[in-house]
Amino acid sequence: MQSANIGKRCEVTRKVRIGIYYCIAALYLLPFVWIVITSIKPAPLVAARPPVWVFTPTFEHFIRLFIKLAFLENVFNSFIIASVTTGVCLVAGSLAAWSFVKYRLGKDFLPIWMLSNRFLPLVAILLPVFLFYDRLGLLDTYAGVILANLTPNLAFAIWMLRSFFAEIPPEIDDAATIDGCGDLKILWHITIPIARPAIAVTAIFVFLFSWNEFFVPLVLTQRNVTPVTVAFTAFRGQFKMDWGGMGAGVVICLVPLIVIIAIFHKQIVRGMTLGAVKG
Amino acid sequence: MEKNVKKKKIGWIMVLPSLIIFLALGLFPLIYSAYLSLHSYSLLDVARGFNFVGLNNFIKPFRGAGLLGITFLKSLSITTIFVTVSLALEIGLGLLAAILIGRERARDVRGLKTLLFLPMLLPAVVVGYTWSFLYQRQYGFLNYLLSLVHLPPLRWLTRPSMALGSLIIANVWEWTPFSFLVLLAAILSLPKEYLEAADIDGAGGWQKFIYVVLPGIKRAILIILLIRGIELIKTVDLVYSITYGGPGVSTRTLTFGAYMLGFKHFEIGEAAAYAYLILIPINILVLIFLNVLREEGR
Repeated sequence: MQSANIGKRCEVTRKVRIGIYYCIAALYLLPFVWIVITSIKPAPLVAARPPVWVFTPTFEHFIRLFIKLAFLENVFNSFIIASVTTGVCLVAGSLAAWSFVKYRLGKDFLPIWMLSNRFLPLVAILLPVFLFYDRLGLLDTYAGVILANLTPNLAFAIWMLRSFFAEIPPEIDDAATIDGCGDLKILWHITIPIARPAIAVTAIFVFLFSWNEFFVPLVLTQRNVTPVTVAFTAFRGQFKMDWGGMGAGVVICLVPLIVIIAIFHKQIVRGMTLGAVKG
Repeated sequence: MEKNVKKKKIGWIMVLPSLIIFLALGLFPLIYSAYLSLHSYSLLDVARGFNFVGLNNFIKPFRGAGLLGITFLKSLSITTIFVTVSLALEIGLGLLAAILIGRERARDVRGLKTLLFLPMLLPAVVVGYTWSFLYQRQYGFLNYLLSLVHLPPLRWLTRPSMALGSLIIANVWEWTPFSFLVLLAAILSLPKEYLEAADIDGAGGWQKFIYVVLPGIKRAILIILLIRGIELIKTVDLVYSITYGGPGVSTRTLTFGAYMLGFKHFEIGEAAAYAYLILIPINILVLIFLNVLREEGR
């Protein structure tokens, strides 16, 4: 009887504790809540002092975003840039990663040198790239932004895929070789299907990184292929910010991200640490 | 033997596309940058020509404020404060949260973990502009909160002595979840027996932390320090979207300075030299990190 009571009390304090943690998390995310509220606030109330909590929601900022600011074009540009970058990184990355695992090419040096590209400060690279692009007519083109995005992202992709491929037991390959499969066939029919979840995680991260990239397109685009991240700078006018429009832009960025997180939350820690920590 | 050679050949062919990309878009620009750094060249004043100036561009940032209005050493000290204070807070707060949450049952806190992914996976400019909205002096949310407790409004972004702090707060907000989640993963993977053994030996909370938990998560802390240290030195988006290096030069970090030199003043040679100076601290951290990864013997 006594112990049942204690158990119950523990249960209650546990629930209270969890409740408190969730409240703290909610407070922590308050900046987003505030910006989301701002996105549906009528324009005159956006910068009201003190802040207005009760108002009739409006979609004027979203409408302005789509019609006047052509934000959808920016979303489209981001989408093209991020998906092509992801595609190239996956193809070139799996080939390289697999040959590192299978043939141990260049021992440790080659993969490590490739990974080190991930950390290069972009300023150092983008100066010459900018000059070359100017000559070659690659400024403000999809190809230009995608090529410049490849350096850090391909480095990431190779490293992640290599660590995933290395976890596949070599006996599987050996069995296939005995059955007369060529190496490329093994990669295509055995390694890739087994590593499909790993490849999906890598793809999601490369997509996110190139979607979030700011510096590369800031320097290499002008008007035609401006992605979302750079489009945000347009909300800063000469004298004041268009906070309502910006809020609407944030909401548009939040929605797909929440979907991605809901699906992939288990693998995110591993991706963010380049596989150094398994979540 | 012959078959092995042929196999190696296939391997090289498979590496080739990546190799070309890294040579053309990584190594070659880096080498060309070194070449540029020895020259004086401006895109705004092409008539000045492309002149060899030796190591002048490397010495110049130490001599005087120059175009950036700030010497290299002053900018280095701003960057150092930004990086070290951010790191200390990110890891300190992340560790505290990880220890608290690590004691709860996994399914109770699953939703919590998912929510905390949001700040670090959004574009940093989005985070930056969100915070600059909160920081507004007249109608910003933070000053509203202060007024609720009868405190005077603060000039978060317009006072030189506060701007760097405001930048650090926004950054710590964005990235503490990273160290929290990594440390949580590390704590949860500690062998249960160790903690139980410590319990049996009658170790208190502190002792358990110092002698059992801390050694077990040492590697995770090192990885966070290195990854975040490198990224913090490279930070451009947050500075660009929150303070734009100002007011005055109070938040002009090294990388932002290199950006300004190259893409606002278009002094290509000076910017290349500046970027090379930044490479030094970054490379030290990268070399340590690569060694940590290699020691795992993958």
